[in-house]
Amino acid sequence: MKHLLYILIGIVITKGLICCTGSPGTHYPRYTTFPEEKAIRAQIIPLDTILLRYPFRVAVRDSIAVVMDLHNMDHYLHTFTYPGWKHVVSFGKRGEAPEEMLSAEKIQFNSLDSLWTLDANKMEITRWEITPSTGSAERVEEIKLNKKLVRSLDFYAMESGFLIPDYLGEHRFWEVDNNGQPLQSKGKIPSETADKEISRPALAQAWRSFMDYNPDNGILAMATQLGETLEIYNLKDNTHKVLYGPEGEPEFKIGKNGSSIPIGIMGFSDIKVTDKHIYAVFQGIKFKEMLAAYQRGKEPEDGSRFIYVFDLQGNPVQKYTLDRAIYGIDINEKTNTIVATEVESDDPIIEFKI
Amino acid sequence: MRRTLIKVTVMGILLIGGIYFMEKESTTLSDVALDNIEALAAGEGGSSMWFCRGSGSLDCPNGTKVKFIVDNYSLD
Repeated sequence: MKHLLYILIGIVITKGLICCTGSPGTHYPRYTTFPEEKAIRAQIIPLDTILLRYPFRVAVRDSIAVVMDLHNMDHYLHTFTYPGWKHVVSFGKRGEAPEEMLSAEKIQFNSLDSLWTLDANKMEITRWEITPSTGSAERVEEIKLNKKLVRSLDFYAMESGFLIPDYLGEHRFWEVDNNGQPLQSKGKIPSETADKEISRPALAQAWRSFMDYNPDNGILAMATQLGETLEIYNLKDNTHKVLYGPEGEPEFKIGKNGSSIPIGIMGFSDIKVTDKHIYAVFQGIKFKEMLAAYQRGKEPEDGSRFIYVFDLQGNPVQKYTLDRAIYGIDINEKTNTIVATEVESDDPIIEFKI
Repeated sequence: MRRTLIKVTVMGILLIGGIYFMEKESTTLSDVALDNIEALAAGEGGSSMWFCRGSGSLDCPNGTKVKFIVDNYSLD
């Protein structure tokens, strides 16, 4: 009888501990250093007439470059010739009309008739066709995203549909069909510290990530905007790796209305997956320092001075230290060229040779 | 002794049941919570509990992109 009693008490205590200690107990691998480190200098690209206020993303395909301006005067998207950087056409007009854009999160430039954009405020993915000879760009396809996704902040367009990060914190990302309907969710937020009681939407906001996918090798990489964590999903063999950098996972507190308030550091600002490598643009500046600078009447630097390179298994390969603070990148490994955007600068487009 | 055992068993079952339902409740989102999130994203949250400032890349709950998000007016 006594034994039964002890077993019962044991079960209750164990269950209680599992439930309430919170820590999932997982400890993900850390990277601390890179085998190669190199300082590289920017080459300024002279632009003609176009004023870019906050060029957040850049994509280059063959002889055309597209720049996405987050805080534009009138258009979110601008097309230039490449490498000449002569303006071709601006499109994606800011506005509330049906064919105008309320916001822009990302561009994906596959070819002249396949430039994809995401408008999170309209929950709409749009495909554009650019015609350089006539200096025009047309909306050729609009996909309304299902309300179940709530708010989509990044995407990757594939032939079969889209990959979209989860906004509610129950999963990590969604596979969505070509009509914007969610098919299945995958993964979970790889937090080492979040317990079950924490608000999942607030956790997901803190773990807001930028993503890129390479269909040739099946690698989907995600990097957090806060903190320093990377996730690498191989969608071909269904393996998954999580990497923590020295600054660890995103730090946040929950505001009075339940939304996530960032503390800690600004982390990654862009990520690209090539055939052999993953390039992640890293900032690493503490919010506390930025706020202190702001309160002293100084404008804190807005941008990242590091590009981290990993192999497709997540092993650190190279760290580049930049002489300018950048946001978005386009990588060409054949020409060893990185095109980058610099916000709040008179020289918004720069290039690095690696 | 038998009575004690019965009491402890019943209490144990109640405890485990309680824990089970608490966990279930914490991992599912109600429609009300979903509506709240949508309202926030659309900038219809009423009086702000957060405060966003500047032009940047952080996602303010009202759907704009900002430099800072704080939960009080300490920047003023």
